[in-house]
Amino acid sequence: MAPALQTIEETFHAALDCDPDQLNAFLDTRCGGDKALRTKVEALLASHRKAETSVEISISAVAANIIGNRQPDSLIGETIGHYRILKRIGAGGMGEVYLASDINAGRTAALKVLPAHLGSNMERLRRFEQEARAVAGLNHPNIMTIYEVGTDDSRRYIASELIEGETLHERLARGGVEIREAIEIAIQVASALAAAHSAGVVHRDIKPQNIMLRPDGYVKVLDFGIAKLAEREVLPSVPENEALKLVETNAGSILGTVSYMSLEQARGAHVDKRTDIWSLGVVLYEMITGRAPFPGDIPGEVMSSIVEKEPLPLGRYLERVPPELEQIVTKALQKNPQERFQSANELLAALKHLLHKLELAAELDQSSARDSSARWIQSPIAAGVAVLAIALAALFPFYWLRKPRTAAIPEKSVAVLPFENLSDDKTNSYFADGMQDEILSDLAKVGELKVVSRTSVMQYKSGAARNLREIAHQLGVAHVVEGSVERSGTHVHINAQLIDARSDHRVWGQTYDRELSDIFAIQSEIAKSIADQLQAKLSPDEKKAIERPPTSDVTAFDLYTRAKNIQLATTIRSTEKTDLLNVVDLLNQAVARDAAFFDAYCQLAYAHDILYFSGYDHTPARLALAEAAVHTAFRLRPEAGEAHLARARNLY
Amino acid sequence: MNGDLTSANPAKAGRLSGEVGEAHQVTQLLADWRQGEEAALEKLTPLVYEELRRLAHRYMAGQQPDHTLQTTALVNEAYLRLVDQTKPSFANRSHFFAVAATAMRQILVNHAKAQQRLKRGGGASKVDLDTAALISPEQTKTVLDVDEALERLAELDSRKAQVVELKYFGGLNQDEIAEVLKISIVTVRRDWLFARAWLYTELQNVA
Repeated sequence: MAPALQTIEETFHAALDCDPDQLNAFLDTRCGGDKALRTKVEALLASHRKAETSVEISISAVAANIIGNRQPDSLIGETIGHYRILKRIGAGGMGEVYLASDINAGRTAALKVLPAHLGSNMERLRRFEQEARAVAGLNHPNIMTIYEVGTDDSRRYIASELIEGETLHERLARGGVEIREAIEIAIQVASALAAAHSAGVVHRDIKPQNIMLRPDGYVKVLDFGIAKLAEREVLPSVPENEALKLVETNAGSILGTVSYMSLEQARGAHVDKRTDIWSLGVVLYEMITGRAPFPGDIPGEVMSSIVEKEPLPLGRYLERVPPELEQIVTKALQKNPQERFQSANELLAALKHLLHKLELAAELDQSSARDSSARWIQSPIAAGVAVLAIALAALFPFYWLRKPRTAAIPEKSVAVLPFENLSDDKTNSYFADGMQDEILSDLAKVGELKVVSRTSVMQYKSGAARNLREIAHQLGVAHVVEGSVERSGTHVHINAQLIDARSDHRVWGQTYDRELSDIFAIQSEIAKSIADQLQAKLSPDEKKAIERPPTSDVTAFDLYTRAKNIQLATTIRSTEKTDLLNVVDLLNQAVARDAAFFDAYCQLAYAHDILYFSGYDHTPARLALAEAAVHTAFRLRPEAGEAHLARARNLY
Repeated sequence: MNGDLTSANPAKAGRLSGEVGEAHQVTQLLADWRQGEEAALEKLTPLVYEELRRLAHRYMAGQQPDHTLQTTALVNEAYLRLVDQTKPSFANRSHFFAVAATAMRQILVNHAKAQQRLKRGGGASKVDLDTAALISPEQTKTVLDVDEALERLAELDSRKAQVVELKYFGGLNQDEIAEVLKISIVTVRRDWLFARAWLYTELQNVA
């Protein structure tokens, strides 16, 4: 027998109130053996979740339009200005968008034809043109380029570059984005906003429909300043509650959805650049949770939610939200503009900081606990990154978030401390660092070993009297490796020893007196001996990886080591552009000497990436350089983790 | 924004000439309906329907295709014109919106049915195609599916169907629905949540 509507309804509401974790248990208890009831309620809950994410109710708009009985007229085939209209590619509150061919310039363009009423206010139009030019002048990679604003036969149009890809709105409709991708999109949008704001242009209508995602990873923000054309003047004498009503009933300013309106927009009050910060906050919230921070079924409800309610924390929707992300969203969505980020640059800096932190945390997770999988990333690419970061942890061992070490110290754990430089020429110190780095990297390739990353051992500089027991305790390892390097001419003298820090007992030690060209063989020998002493079994692949020399050219290795040292000497956050350019220069020299220097290409890709994503050089040219380095690395070792990682990084 | 739909300012609406007599009539009918006179509703609906139609026509002239007109804005404008604004009352407004919701639903369903007939008739050229082209076949189907699903819901629980109609077709908010149906806001909320999920599920089954 079918369950009664009332029973279904009561169960449905109780389930809505129920903690998501407890839902299954709740339904088990509540429905008992009543399969029909459970199926029905679960279907309703699924529908509820689906319904919740859609704010717009298109049907009522359809109704209004039907009784408006409009003539659908099409411009296809017509020529407007020097543009021939080829195809309709979209429509929004701000008018129709067509694919057009520019007869003069012989290129294709996107042509937006403004609705009659938007083109009628000459003063506003003039201001809009001014702003459009100001924004176009910025030539910012994240801002859609406007070719011209023109008039033809009283029709106003805006010609702009044609952007391939999909809108963020379409992307979100296909499914959620990962936290990291969301942050990267937000970074690019914030970067566009920062540039536009500096030119005195406020967007006023930041929403997923105005954010284009190109297949190459570029994000483009559309329609700067157009929203202003459609805005109604709000008289200062109108009291606030009236103003709210005014906006609510003003079909023109409620273009499409109201969900992204800032509080001051919802109130019809004066807006400045901080309105864009709010709207980007809403977009970020939606990207992460798949939901609107200020929900409502109709515009009026959304607006009262914007005015009155605080959004639920991100943590309510998904697990393990980085606290800093929560803080960023909260700060962007402060009702008082004074309490928000005061500039897009400020928001941009916070987002970048967070992104770097997450990257580092992911790498760290791998270097300090290689058996655990990545926690906050779940996309296939990110998962690939996580797995492949194992080898990379030794290459780029930035260390940021140290987790408290409470667990027992594993026996097969080791920290390779900086090697002492005993050369007469003290400028050779990087050579000692390179030695340490390679041994550490080799050991990190051994699955059974826990190896502390290089950044975290950096602080224990050689030379000073080191308390090994104390150091090992701090790093959470049982063993440490110490050593010294003396380089004179074409000879090297290398000493290395493995010490059980718990007892200060020297487990193993060896001195090598060899030709400089032998150093890579020596590094491998040391690594293998240590692994052997710690009874870590090497798989054939691991053995092969350790024995493979990083390069055949000692000078190239010098250059590479110096580049790495520069990058390592500072945290990413404080890396200066000149430092990064220096790094790039050294690595270019290295790969010029040895075109098969895989690690150098990986490092090079990484340096280009940081230059690009940190905004130091956010240009297609920089991205292309990164891509080229990744490509070469990948070609050199298609199977290698580092190349995959660098590639994955680049694909973001 | 051109001025047609923007006179949300009651003072301005009150000045609209030639509609004062109508305003009194509609205000009176609303009062009668609230007191339980069903005949008042019958007189009211065509008046509201006509006004909505007239406003929408005027507003849409000169707009680009696909410009969406918000029901709430439209209904509000009709309300300001048709109902005496010298004594604005929340109850009046809610009830007016309720009438408009029914009108809106009727407009949609009639249109969708007409379009379906047109399709079955092979698109005879004598028929005015302008109106037909306004909604896509998918939308036509959605309108009719929603209408039918609402009928089914009304059989199970008429109050929930009313909540949907008021909100979905009329754009009423919770407070207004509570006022019209004389139920608590909490009940409106619960009814809506359930009815919406129920409708979504139903529509999925249809699709």
